[in-house]
Amino acid sequence: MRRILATAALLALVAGPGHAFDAADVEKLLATKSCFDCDLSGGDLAGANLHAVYMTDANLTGANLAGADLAQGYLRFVTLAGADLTGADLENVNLESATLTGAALARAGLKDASLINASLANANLAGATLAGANLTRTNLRAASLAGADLTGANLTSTVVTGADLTDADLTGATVARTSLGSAILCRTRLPDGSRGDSGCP
Amino acid sequence: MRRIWLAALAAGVTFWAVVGAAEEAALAPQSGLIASGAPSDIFLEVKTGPNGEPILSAEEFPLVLGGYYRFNFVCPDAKDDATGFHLEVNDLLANSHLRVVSVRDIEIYMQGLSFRAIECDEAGAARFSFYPMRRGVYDIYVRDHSDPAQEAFGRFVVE
Repeated sequence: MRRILATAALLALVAGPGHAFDAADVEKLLATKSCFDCDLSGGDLAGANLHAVYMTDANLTGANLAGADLAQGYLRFVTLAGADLTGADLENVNLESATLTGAALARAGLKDASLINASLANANLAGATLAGANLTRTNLRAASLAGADLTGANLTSTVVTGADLTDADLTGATVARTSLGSAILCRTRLPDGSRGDSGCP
Repeated sequence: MRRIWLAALAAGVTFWAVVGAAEEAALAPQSGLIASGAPSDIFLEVKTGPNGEPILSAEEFPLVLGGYYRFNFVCPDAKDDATGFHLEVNDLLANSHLRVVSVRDIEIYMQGLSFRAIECDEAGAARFSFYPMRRGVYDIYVRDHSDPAQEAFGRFVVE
């Protein structure tokens, strides 16, 4: 009996306080393309077709959405901290006030996306397409935007402290109340077409 | 026997060191947890520039979600209605739990209310304590009383 209790205690310790995603929520999401307040943290949705998905306040912390189609989606207030969105299609998506801290968004397509007031601190957006995206009051602190396409994007009151803008293209971008000098600029194409090299090693 | 006592002593020291470190970590503000205890003071001093424009002492205030802060709006050199400044932080207030607004020794304990702006028409300070409740970037807007107004912007960054 004591051994059983000890094994149970050990298993409880190994399992920890965390919880896996709810399989029923995944099925519902894929079937209806909508999900409210659902828990999909740690879920595997790589390559999923979630075009025009509608979900608010959902928890997708650490989820795998690499290569998924989330274009035209409505994802306000969603938590995607640490999620893998590498190469995902997020064109014209609404991610207003979403939390994407530390998310992997390398080569993601975020053309015309709304990221107003979203938290993308420490996110990896290397090679991402953000042309025409609305980054008003977006937190990009220490994010990697190396080689990102930010042409025509709106960077009003955007936090770019410590962000890596090496080889990024900001041609035609609106930059107001945003201190580009606090970011790493190297071979960066600035809004007026000139080149910024102040942060080159 | 002595070895057992020494081992017990070492275990005790290690235990309390771990407990102490855990307590210290628990006291530090942590994103997503509501802070307890006294608020952390943050200061924004607005001085008058050569042309009467507002000059902010800092433009960015990094805050922790759920931390407890007291924002001090300080006008060291305002003299009258014409030279004072006007402060608005509406987006922050819309996403925070506001506790106490105070001017000198007058304290207003809030109960589901907010405020639109603070104006200083003489040298002094006003302050308010609050818990930021949602991550985001929130503008600080300061202007003078001229027409058109001379403006300055800062921001709170809640992570």
